[in-house]
Amino acid sequence: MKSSVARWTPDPWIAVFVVATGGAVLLALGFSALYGLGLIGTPSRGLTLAHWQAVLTDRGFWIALGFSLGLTVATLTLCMVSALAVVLLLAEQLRRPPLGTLIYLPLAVPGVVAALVSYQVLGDGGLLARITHALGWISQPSEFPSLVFDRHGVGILLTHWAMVTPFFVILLDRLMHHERIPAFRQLARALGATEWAALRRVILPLLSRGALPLCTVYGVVLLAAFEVPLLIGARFPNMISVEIHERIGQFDLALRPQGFVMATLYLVILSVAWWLGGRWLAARGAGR
Amino acid sequence: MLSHVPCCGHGLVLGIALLAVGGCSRSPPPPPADPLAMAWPAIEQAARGQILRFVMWTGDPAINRYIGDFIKPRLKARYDLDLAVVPGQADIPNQVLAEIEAGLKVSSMDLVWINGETFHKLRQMKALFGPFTSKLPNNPYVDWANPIIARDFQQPVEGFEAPWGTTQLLLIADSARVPDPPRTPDALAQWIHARPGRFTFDSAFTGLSFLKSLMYAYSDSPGVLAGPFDEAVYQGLKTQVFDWVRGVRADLWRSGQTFPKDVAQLHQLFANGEVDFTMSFNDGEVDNKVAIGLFPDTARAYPLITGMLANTHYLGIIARSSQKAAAMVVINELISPEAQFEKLKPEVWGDGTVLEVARLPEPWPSRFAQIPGRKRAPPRSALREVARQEPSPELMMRLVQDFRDEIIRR
Repeated sequence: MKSSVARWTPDPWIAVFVVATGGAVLLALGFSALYGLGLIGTPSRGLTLAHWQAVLTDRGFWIALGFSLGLTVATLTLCMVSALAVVLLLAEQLRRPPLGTLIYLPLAVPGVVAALVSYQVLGDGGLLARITHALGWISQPSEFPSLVFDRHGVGILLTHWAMVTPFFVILLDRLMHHERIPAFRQLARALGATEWAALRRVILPLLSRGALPLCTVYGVVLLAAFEVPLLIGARFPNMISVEIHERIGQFDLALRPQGFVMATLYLVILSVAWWLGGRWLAARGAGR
Repeated sequence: MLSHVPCCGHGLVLGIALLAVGGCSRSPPPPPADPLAMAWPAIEQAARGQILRFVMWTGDPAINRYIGDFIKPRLKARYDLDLAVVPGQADIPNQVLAEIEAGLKVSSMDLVWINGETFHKLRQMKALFGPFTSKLPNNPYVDWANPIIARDFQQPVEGFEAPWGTTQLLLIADSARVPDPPRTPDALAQWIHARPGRFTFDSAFTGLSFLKSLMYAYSDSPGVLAGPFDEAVYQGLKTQVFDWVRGVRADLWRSGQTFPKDVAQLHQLFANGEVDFTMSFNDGEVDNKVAIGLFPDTARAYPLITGMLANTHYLGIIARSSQKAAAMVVINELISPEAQFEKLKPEVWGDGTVLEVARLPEPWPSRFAQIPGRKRAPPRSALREVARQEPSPELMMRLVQDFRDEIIRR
């Protein structure tokens, strides 16, 4: 009897943690939902679906969401490929200075600083433009490719790539040793596998299993990125957090609830995608 | 005995922690006296030793230096008052709204730099303290007879904000690259087509004010946008202005696919040589930007002869501020002849005065007359005939949305 009571009694510190984190998110979601429905908030005039209707039919919101998703996938792919290349080709150098130390430095750079550095380097009047002009490759700054404030988000992608890749290098390097992947690789080669086969059938599956959780978490972080797109993104399309921020802060306060509808919708979509992804992974794991 | 119950030890610690937090909370301080019911010496006394939070736009280093190097030391020396500058501008009403919705009794803002749409929204929320301007000893010197000062974007001020400075929107061009700048919208369009990628405007306040100025160019009379918002007038003028934008869009900077997000970014593009024009609501800005080396020495400011917006910027006091007395003292200081004179100097800020100079006691009228003229912008007297009043704030709100939907998102 006593042992079953002890089994079912939740640890109060875990309860505090859950309430402080998940509870705060639920509170924010509830506030956004009620605000978007016109039930709370100074500009609100009672229950209305008008703001939901406006957002669901707003092309700008869906484009922002799609743009954010596309940019996130592209950034993560580029980061993982780059990190994998560094880990495979420079494994020994990562064990000692200077690379072993320098790889940590970009992690200390905040998003705002990274965006400003990107502007100074990649802008039309930036460092790269001046170098190419000095080399005679372009005759005026406007001939330099638009790498910031561009509609494809190239500057955002490159900035996030520079910020995030070192993290994945460290992660993959640790995984390589924790999972003893060099030993498995050697074994595969000894059994006749080519380098490419060892990479595809041994290294990548082991790394992806270990890296997937953090990759997913970082994907969520990049999806909601704010400072970099705000500073060096084009006016359209916006990334989703910039779009929400603009809608909440716009001149007409009567339209402020639309920003909260966007935030609610974004969180719901993300939660559903997370749940579906979890079920798919579980089914895939059970199928093996 | 307690050790037999696994949670009790944890619960005891948690309970003690909660009691400690609860026990540390102080009873709320008594509300400050209403300065409107106090004589001015009592207001000054109440302001002594206080810390005042001033929410202002901090995008111009010249303005920041004026506040930091001239105003702050004066306030400290005269009233032992500390002025804490907090960056903010268009987001002020949203912050105030968030505070109201959170049920905060005391605002985190005291003094705010506002005009136009921000004034309109704060008044809608009844978030401004007042009317207070008649209490200020320096108020009799203010040029309230000037309609650009007495009305803020067509709204009567009614004592809820004090005028701080007057400005005129001007284009700024590098005369070395643009020796004969275009002076009408049509001439500007021809210049843009001839020099693709060398002109743009920002998508925030200044750029949209440029578009509002173009509305006057396409109107039959300067008074067309006076008074309350008129949907039919707006739609007619907006269509013509947006047609102008669409006509030049392909030859704008970045082929018009994006616009600088604010005037600070536009200034950066101009300083980098990526574009040949910028613009500013501070008609004296070109001199102080050249003085600090940001703009080239050949930069020159000028207006379109079809008219450009002129307006006044103001200072308001948040109704939930706990430092209303201190705010009134600071405002009185900012509209004093000494502060207005310093602000007018081209090398300091170049911001127009709100005072009726002829009404000032000696030696101020002669001192104001002797301020060195602007070197790179026309004198104020020459700008009066092209000065156009700001239309109602509803027009700006509509323009923001329509520009986003019809231009930016296409």
